[in-house]
Amino acid sequence: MKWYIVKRILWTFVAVWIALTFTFALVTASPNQGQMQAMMSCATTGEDPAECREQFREREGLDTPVTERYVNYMVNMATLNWGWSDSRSQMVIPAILSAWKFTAQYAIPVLILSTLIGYGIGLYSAYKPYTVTDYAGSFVAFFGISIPNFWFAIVLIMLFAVNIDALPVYYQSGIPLEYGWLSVRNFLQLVLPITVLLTASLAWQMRYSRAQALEQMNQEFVKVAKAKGASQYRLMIHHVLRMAAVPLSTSFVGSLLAIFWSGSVIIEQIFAIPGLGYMTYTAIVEQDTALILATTLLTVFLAIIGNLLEDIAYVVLDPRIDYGNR
Amino acid sequence: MPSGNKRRNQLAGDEDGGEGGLDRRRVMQYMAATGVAASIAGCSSGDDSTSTTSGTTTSGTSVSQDEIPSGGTFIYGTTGNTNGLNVFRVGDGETSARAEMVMDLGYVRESPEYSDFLPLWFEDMTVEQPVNQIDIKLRENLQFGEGYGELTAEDYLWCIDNIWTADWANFTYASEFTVGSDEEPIQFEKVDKYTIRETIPNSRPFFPYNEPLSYMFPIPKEIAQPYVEDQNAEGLAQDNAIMRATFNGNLGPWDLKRWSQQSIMEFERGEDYYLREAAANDDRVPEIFTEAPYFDEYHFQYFDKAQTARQALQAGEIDATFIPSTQVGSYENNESDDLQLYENPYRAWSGYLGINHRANGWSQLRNKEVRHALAHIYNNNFVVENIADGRAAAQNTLHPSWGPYAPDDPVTFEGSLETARELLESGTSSDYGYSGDTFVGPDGNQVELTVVYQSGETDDLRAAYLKQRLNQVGIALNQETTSWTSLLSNFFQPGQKASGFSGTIGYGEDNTSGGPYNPGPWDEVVSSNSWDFMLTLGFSYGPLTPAGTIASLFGEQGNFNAYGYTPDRDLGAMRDEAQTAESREAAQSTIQEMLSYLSEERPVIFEYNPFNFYAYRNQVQNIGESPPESYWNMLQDRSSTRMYFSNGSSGR
Repeated sequence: MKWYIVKRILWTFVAVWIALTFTFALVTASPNQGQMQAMMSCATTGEDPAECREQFREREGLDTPVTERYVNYMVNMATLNWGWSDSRSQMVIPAILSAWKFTAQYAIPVLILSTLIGYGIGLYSAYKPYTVTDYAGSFVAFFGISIPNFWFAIVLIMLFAVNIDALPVYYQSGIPLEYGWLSVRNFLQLVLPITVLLTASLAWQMRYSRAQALEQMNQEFVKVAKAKGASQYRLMIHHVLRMAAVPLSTSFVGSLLAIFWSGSVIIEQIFAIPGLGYMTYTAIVEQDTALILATTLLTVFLAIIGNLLEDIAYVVLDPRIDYGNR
Repeated sequence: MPSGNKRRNQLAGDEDGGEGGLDRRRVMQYMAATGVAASIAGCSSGDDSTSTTSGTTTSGTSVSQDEIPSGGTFIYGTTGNTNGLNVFRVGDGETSARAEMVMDLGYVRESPEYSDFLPLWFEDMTVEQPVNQIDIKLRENLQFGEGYGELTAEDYLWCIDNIWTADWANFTYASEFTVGSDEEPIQFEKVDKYTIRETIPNSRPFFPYNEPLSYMFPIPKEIAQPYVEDQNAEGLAQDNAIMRATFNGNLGPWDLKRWSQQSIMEFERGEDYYLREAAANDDRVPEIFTEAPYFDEYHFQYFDKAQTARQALQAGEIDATFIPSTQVGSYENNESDDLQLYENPYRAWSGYLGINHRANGWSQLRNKEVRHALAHIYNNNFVVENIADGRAAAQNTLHPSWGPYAPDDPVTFEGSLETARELLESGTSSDYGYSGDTFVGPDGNQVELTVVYQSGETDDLRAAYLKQRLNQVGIALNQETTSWTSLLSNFFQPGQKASGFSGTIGYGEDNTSGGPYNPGPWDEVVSSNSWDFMLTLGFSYGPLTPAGTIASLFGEQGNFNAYGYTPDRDLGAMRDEAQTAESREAAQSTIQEMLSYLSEERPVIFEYNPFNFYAYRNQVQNIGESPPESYWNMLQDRSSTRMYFSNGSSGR
């Protein structure tokens, strides 16, 4: 197992290297906007565009062999020199370092809460299917799946921020700096974004865990455990959940990235949260190549690491799975 | 008496919150963004401590200055961007609005007369008669920060030679340093340490309105020198001191305190603002400035969704924001909301349906009959009445109906779809025509066009109306939304050679350029993304010099003619004729002829000048009379330094 993990971590580096190389190839093959602009500028001021192109290539180091540029590119990536973001007017790394905290502060709680509450209600519904509580759970789930995030957010703002004045309308980025990330004031301005995002992700987790648990409830080992007098708690947590969690765990990384790509963009736009989702959205809309590359690479990295963690979780949850000889 | 004016063209969005406030002092202006704010706003969370200033009376109000409380944090909610204070990006009006928070300009015009202005950095301006020479005298207590010393005539001259007119810098307003179609350079010379003399070869009655120094931001040469030596425009634009204007010293009312990208820009009161001393000694500077500004802090809070900004205003979390005309009804006569509405009908902003005449737009749009068909299809009266809810004035040329040069008989279109169909058939080439109710092209397929715009309440409705009406004449329309920045850089600004063109880009044998927004003719250079129609982006200008504005936007080599429009009349020569007339009155017939020509030509589909509306919390005082008496009576200009909270606190 340990050797498997070591190999997978090494493979992570290889996969990131492949992604970086592929990216470099794409960027190299694409028309260079800066070079085109430089040529355009010269063409319009009566200078020789070819000469300006050479000056630009020399200034940007594009006149060197492609192998040398590739090495420089990889060194830059490895040393976190990821370039300048036009849409943010700052270097890419500081941009990411600035934005990730704003996303993490609500994305992580949403992930934890949706997992705990979603699986909990899902298991309970599976234990008592087709009862009032199951139907209530199903209602909550379908409500969460069906209701558009942006609309729900606006309604919550009107109700709790404008009419009742209990919560802030928008996210003030100065509050965590002034009062702390874990302060009550920061928590209050995250209540509505978390609620909106939680509604959608919780519903999905709830329905999926209910379906998985129901499938396990009819297995022989559950019947045996029940016949041996296992308590409800032990039956659900130690037997049903453990088996149901194996397929559930495969969706964990996907769910994280889904929150990031879909939910966070909308949430951050509506609540004015300067996080990764909104940053990425703006980068794409404004064709900010350096920032798009960086966020894409981060996603690749997250996906690879996430898959590794999922594979490890398989073994922990189901001892029958063994990577020992791989 | 001194005399002067400011001149800038501004491509700006309809829902441009702050731009309207800046119009007052500009005859022509620069570019700004949709839904953006400029000179208003502030917020809290900071120290709401209250203090009372002493002094006399405010300008334009009956409030005694010793009754003006100071303190609190004012927050303006904007849907613009917070991308720094780079004074070299002043072609983008959002940046300009922010830059003007930390750096003043030369002066602010207060009436059509040369002599009537609020002197800021320029203590005096002397205009020689006939008008071909202007002497500008700087104040003597202007200081850059960070040890860069005094702002003197030398700094202006260095920036003119090394940055503003330098080819490598590609400064948007480089062309402002020349006059006439043959681009004769304005001569600048240093008279003494604080005096600059501007001279042009021949007398021009509009020269004081067009002289460029009054709206330029000089920077310390020590900061720029390394980039000038390397001719590195990118490096200059990315320099931290430039991005944050850390060198602003006492040159503006505010200093940048904190900037969180895509979130907020916080300014704190400048402790040694030069204008306070000037107000105490100069009768022309209202005494309200002796203690200005009155807020402790002034914030631009960024919102992606304008609706969130309005909700924040209703909840009292911010102090002001722009209100689109479609939403004004819910703010009128609604006393329970603790809000006051400011209306500005005198907005020198022309909204229109932009048309791409360049090679990556629909070729038939270069035909006037087709554009007339479009004027029927996209009926400006309908837009004014039903989309702007009557809170706008229809325009049929590039001039507001209240402007001094508005033509008496502009060409109008009644909105007949039947006529539009006839014009489409007769105006397009022979391989276009109707197949049943569908308008088809040479390939036999329905003609399909694209409108690009920044999504917003008004522009979404305008685009939907255009789509509906085009569908009714058998043309399909794709709607493409994008950001303001992308609208400018990827759609508006030509930056690529046109397909099939391999020569050197530029006009004439010398391949001259109209500037970054018009580097060459329509068949040589195009934008990186193709489009046919464009909403959101309009044109902001002062009403006094429309000849320059017209030539700039629609002259073949005009610096903002990104549309690629090719007039069959020499608008540049007409501009010169108007600008070299003996007097402004003598120029009137030429200017009206230009405006009538545009009305008939419809290089774009002229639409309206919408009124600006802003909602303020009732606690905010001295926002100005609403609506103002005239274009020159808007108090929004320099509002950040005039406004105050009624009790010196935001109450948050």
